[in-house]
Amino acid sequence: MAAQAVYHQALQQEVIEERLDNGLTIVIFPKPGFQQKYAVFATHYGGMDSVFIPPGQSEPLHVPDGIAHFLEHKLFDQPDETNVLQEFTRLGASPNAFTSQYMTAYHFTIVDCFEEGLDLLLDYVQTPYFTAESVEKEQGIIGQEIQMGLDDPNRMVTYNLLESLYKEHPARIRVIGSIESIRQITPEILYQCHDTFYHPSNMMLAVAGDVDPNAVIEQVKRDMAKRNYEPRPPIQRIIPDEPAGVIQSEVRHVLRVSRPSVLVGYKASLERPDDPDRLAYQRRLVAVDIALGALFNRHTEFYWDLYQDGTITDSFRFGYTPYPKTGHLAVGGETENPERLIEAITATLSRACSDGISVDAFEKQRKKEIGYFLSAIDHPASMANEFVLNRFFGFDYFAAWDMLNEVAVEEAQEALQQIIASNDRVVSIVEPMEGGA
Amino acid sequence: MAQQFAFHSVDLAPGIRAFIQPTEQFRRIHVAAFLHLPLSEETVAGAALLPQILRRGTRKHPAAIDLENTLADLYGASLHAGVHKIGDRQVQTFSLSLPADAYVSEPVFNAGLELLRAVMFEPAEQDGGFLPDYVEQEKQLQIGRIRSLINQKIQYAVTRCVSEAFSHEPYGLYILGTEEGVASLDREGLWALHQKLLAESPIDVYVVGAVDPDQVASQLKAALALDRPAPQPLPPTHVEIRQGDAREIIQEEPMEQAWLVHCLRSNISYGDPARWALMMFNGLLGGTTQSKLFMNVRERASLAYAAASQYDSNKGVILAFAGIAPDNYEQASQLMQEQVEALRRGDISDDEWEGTLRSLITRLRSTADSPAGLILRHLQGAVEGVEQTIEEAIEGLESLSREQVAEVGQQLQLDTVFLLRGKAKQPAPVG
Repeated sequence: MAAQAVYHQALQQEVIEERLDNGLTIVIFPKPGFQQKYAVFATHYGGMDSVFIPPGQSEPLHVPDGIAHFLEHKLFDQPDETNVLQEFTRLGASPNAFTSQYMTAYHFTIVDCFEEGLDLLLDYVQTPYFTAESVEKEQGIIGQEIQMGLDDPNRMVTYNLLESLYKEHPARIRVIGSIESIRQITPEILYQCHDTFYHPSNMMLAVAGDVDPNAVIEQVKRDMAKRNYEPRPPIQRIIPDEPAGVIQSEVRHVLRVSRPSVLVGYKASLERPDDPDRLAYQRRLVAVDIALGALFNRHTEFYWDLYQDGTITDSFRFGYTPYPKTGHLAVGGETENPERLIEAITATLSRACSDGISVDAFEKQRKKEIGYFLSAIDHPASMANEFVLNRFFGFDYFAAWDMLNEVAVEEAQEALQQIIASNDRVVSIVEPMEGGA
Repeated sequence: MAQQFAFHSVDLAPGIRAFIQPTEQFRRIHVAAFLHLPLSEETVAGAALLPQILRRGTRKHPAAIDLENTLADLYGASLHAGVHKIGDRQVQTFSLSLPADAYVSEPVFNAGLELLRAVMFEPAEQDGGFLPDYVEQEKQLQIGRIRSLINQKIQYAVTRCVSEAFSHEPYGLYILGTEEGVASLDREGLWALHQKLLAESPIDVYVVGAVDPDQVASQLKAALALDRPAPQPLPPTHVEIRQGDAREIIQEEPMEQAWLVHCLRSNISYGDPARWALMMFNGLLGGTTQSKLFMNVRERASLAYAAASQYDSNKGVILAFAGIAPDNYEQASQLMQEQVEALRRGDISDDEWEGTLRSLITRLRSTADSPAGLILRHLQGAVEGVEQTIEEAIEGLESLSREQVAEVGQQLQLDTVFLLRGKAKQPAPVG
């Protein structure tokens, strides 16, 4: 496929895209005037990919929880026993990486020497080097990261919610894994995961900044040419159907915190078998986002009613998270009155279901979302990351702009009802230790 | 071609300055206004609470929900009110960000500016004071924020270390004050403080975005020029090493991990030419993934998941920290000290030097990609009466020698070692 350029007039943003013969998709967002250049090399592989059939085999392989994140840490090791982070620092670049449930992304920002930085990025992500010794050392480092997460109320309240909502679906797996699971990781399994998921046909490279798009594409082509990738069929991921029901409808956990944290979750898929394409599904997600803002954002009675007595604090949050064939809504945050917050969230959602969403609040939230979208265009790195994540899901990031402007309140209403109609509801609470505060 | 990032400076009224940076780079326009006052035990809690009360409602939109709906109508204009600690100052911050008029179907900039003015100068009022409900509610919420600092362990450990190291200076005050300080605030005192700040505080206003500088200057004048006599200028930050040995403070809380913080103090103020050497020292110590702390405490010894340092250029202070297993305290603390010693000896490889220098320069130049970053950088200098362009800062760094950096290390003094750790060893959970 030759490079295609699209100019989004309303946003004044150009996007250039090309898919190489080996399956790699390259996307470039020119940002004239910006000092920083950003590149992200990402694989559609995350904490949820725990069962799959490796290429050329027929039996499913079950890998330890936390391996995608572990692999991310270990990929920085070079065959000459150095760490590639230091190579980036030499160029003045800021490198980093993250692993989420769906994807693993390796990225850097740089001002000068972009070409050298890009070569380095492409090379280290495609050069796995794992030894028994380095894996053992990493088990210690990640073990500490896991322990630290156990002190963090935001993480714990979320882990507990997901582990109670989902019975079978890998959405319940902690991206970071557990002390026990990461102990089972070996160099052999790491190599196998890398071979399966780091093939270019499962990856994307996105670049944002004041760069010459053709030069970037040519550079990537030169890099790929020397690596002789064979074409691959799509990866077979084994994702079980999530049954109805939850593990437990309430989960409590005690930590050294000053006040409780609460999340109320509802499990329901917004994906429909009769959707003509992925965009119909994406549009429903856009609609639900606006609807949730219309119910819970700062311009609602709900918010100010609960704000007044500390039932809502600065950490209040809400959102719907989609997964393959399932998903969940979560609403909550730190609170002085967990019972009142839980009751108010529940009542607001069921009232929205029976009486509908306020059209005025919906339209105001639409305007807010339009403003947020513009602010993402001002942050080249977040724009590139969002674009990649959307594409891995089969969505079109820029189509969301039109959807935001077009979607009707009735569509949002219907999608919201679909979630609330679900009886699969969990309340997750983190409580302060007695005498803690 | 490198753009020049120098703000256009305009005086709006006595003690009220505007700094304007026109640029087509961003889809949104950013406006920020800062009221300066000295950090002091008497006013810290009140000055921190005021922005929260002011943000609730204005004379025209006294109900919070009305103000929020008005902002939503401006395409989700965001209006933040809060406080910063910059050197020895507490700075009240009111910032507005909204889409540039070209990107939305009706113009919003002027209406946004009007809201910013109303929040700062025309609060919702009852019987010559703030609304009693707003005061009481915001007091409770602020107390909740102060208590919840413990929920984020690393921030808590760093804040506690700073308050111990600077227990006899205003800089040691926590930016929101104490629970008791907030509890003792009343409507009358808060109203009087607000009036006093409007009369006596130097105010700096910044605009970054797709604006015409002359037009925006007159818009700012119309909106924000207070009729008042010229206020007293505030002194720059006091920077001085404390006499005496390093102190060790251990605080135990029920938790799994531990956080270790070293506070290193110097006599190097913001305007001191040695500042560039101190910035470089911090970069080499813990400012990058190639730094001595990252390489030796995290990578080689595997003693920590996180190990880094940060430099407060206004106060001449470096805070080095590591997230460690509680049993590794002595070993990690000693290893952190050894990294400082190595730099003092000038033990710096070519790779460390070049990489750190490039990283610092990259960060400086990247500031220009973020309106908030541009504004904060300029404001930090304004507090100390020093204006340095990004180019000048880069020259300062590029002209450094290793000897200068080692020498600046000799002037640093370990002031306080702070450890936040679990009360009792708990068995590792099985997951």
